[in-house]
Amino acid sequence: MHRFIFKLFVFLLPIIVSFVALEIFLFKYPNTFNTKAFHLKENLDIETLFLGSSHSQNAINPVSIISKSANLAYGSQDYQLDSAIFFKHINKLKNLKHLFIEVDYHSLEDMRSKSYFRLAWYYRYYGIVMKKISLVEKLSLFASSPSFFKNHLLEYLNINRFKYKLNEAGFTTNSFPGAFKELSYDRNKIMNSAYARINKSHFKISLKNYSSNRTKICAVINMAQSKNIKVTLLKTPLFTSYKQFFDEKKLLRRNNFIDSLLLKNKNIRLLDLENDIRFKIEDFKNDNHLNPNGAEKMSSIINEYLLTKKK
Amino acid sequence: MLFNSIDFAIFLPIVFALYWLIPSRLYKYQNILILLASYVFYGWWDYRFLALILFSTLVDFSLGKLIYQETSVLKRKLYLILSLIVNIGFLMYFKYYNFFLENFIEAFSFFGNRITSNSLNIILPVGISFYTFQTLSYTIDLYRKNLSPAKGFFAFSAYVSFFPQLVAGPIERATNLLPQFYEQREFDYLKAVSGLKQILWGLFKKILIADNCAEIANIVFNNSEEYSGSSLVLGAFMFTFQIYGDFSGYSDIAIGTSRLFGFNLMQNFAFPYFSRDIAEFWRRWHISLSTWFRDYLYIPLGGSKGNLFKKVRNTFIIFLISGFWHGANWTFIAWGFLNAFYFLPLLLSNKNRKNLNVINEGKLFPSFKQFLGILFTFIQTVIAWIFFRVESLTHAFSFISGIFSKTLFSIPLIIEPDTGYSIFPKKTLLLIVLFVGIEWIGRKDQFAIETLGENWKAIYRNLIYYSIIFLIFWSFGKEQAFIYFQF
Repeated sequence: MHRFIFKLFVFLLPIIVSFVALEIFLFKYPNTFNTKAFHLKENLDIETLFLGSSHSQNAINPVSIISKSANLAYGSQDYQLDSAIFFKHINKLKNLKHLFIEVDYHSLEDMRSKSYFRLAWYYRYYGIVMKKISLVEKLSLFASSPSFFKNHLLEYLNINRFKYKLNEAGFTTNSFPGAFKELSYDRNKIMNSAYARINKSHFKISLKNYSSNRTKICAVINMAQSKNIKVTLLKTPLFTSYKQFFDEKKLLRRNNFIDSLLLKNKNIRLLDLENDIRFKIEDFKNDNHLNPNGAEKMSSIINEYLLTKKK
Repeated sequence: MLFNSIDFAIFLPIVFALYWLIPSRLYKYQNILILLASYVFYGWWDYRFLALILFSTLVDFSLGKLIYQETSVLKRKLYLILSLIVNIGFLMYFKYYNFFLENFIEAFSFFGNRITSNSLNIILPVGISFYTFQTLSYTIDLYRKNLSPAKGFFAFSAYVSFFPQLVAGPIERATNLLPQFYEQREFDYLKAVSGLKQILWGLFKKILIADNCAEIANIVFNNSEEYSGSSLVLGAFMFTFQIYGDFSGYSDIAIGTSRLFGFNLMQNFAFPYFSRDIAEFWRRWHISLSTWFRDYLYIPLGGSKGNLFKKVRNTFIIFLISGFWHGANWTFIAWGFLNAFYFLPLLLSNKNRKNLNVINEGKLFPSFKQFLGILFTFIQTVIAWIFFRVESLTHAFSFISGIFSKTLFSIPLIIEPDTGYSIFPKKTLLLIVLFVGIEWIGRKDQFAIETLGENWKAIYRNLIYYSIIFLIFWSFGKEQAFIYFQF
């Protein structure tokens, strides 16, 4: 028995040591969640807050915005998460003056399930509980989302692999690689290969989600207005290869909802960059995401917009 | 409590340590500890159903004694019938009540009569089909005088609720497992190491094979109308490995865990996907259930003896009941029917016991003929598993007709529901190739890595184990419940 226990311990020791080392590494290695959460914690006096999906995440660099800002948009973030982030922090953000809410083509009919793999990180970094978080997810960063942290680890270990760089606000400053660069920004190639590339969930039709998301946005707007925060509905720039698959009825539903919000609330504005011709093919990383150059352009448009609003 | 959970990773070492702290001569106290641990293990899921296990245990313990002591044949038969009524009654109520009710109503509606009745909101107690069959084997064996009654209530209770195999088997016969509770169990280093190896292999099958395959299979089966023929084939193929990895993985962990406590359970899977015909497949798949049906149903019905009608009848009865055992749905009955249909030609041509040995033992590859046999049997099982996995018979037929469409020869692509991106499961397919390779090498053993690297230096052998642990760890996080829990 003693021999068994001793041998088992010796066998398991390298595994335990490796696991502890991995946890320490992951805890220290910067990712968009820990960087943005830390940035927000250190900058509770922000004046502008951006919410939305990866469209906004890639499009707005808070460092380039004239007012102190935070971009809490994340890949696949839906309105459940937008509103959860907003309500979690609203009472701490005493100086908040502008709230940007993304209203892209997919936004209103998109919704994550309870098994969505990033929910554990929203809990860990923002204290947002969207599902029952297991003890394992609480204790181990790796176990909370193995696939995500595996990528981080591989990125770190592989010297040949492209390494993303984050600035202090959690914006990826070098995310140029993408489908458009791979296709040498060739318009024909981009248009012809679009269907296989695009995110199919963006084209899902769901009236149920549409209805539920409308309620969530209205709740966020009501709260923002009660705190005298100006709300801007933001349509981010999208490339034609993505827009060619738009369903007319879905588009109309989105636009009608925006119109109804603008009609009812005088303090709400729309910043529509969806078809803005200032964005060229070279400003895009792929069909529906800007690259850092595009983000700089976008940030200066937002700066102009904020200045106009100030006047 | 799931075997692939952190809860179990904490539970097992605690029970193991407490168990072996009790001196072997006090094995009766070890039995009590096993009983308590088993009730905690089961109660972790839903403590309310512990009463059901306890009741079933009490009934069979008491009736078992009466059956053994009674000399009157009629009374012995009555006690046995009572045991059958109680055990099968529970099973019928919890598992099949709504099925019969709904079908009864539908049948009447067909003839123009309208009956309104609400189905009951019944929760299926985990593992009820397994422990019910286990206790039934006890009373039937007592009736047949193949067994003496249990020597004590705690030993019998521990046998019924033995946590490693309580919820998903192997379905142990009282003749094999019960006597092990009457003996001193000395700690055996080699047995414990072998147990750990089997647990490790079970986790590999569950976490790496079943859970990865489940991701693809779930997407395809849940949205089958959206997929091309080739993607449907890929989904069915993934489910074929999911169910094997899932169920045989559970059995491996159960058998390995039992070994840590000094118990020997029966082999439940013997590399079924290397079978050369469907009869061999059924000798290698879920052995504890197949042999249960063989001994307690098929042989009493006359088995393969008698005229053609009896042979055909018995084959269909055994497969249909086996299908129905898996769940209250016509899809399982269709699955059983299809297997009977596959099996029948072999039985009628007396070729059902042609392949009894280990396939091409000692050789690196199977012969071409054997390979064709394996491939044909595998395709048969893939088609049958479609019926097992779908929600309804309509779904099964639309799934199969979807396969035989113009898109059968297109490149299969799966759409990830959360991200919406198209994926092709390269890594999972690679894992399956690795898995099949290791299983082929170890096909003569009880489990694939039992003797793998036996003659190598410890460092190389450990390297294999570390690699498996690393892969499990790397794939961890897609935790899915074991499929057979629902049966």
